[in-house]
Amino acid sequence: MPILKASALIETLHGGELLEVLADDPAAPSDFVAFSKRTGHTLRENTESGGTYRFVLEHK
Amino acid sequence: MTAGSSATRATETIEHAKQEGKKSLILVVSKGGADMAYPSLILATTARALGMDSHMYFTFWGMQLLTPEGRKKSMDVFPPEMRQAIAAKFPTIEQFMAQAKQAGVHIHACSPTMDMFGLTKASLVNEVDDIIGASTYLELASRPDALTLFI
Repeated sequence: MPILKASALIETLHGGELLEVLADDPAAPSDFVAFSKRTGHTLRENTESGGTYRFVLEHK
Repeated sequence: MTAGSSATRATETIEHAKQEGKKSLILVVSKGGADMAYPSLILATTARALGMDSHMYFTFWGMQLLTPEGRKKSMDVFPPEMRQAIAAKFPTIEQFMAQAKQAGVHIHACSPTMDMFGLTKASLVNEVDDIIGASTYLELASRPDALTLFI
């Protein structure tokens, strides 16, 4: 459940700080878009390579 | 389906939800098996991660998830090999409920069910916030911004 882990971690950061997330959950790309829209934390990167999804979130 | 199109659909869904103003998730958890408890807990904790107000109203067999003995039995719905596979990837129901509580999910116990099963507040796990009846549930679920699911 990458969103639950990312959500808990990003709350420990401050404005402008970045969180990199690597996931193997195929639902993660749409879930991270939804998470970003809902919470206002910017999704800077959303890529996939060899079954690994990589996201970079910037704390709002 | 490509990741791109499902991401687009998620964006559209979120935009729609914003228009509708859905800001609360109210779950009625009516089954005591872990097969129903896991999806309920995933939805409730994810709602909190998205900044929504999140409530779980445990009723009838769902109330078993609020007793120590019932929680242990909840995994009986799975064959042993599946239990091991789940344990390798997911928190236990006990751990997950504690995480939900920590994340700010409201845990409501159903008063009529407690009467029916002869349960007391003392027999429930300590994550329970309060004991409510159907009227209070309907009050919660009547909010214009509430999304309600009966599981």
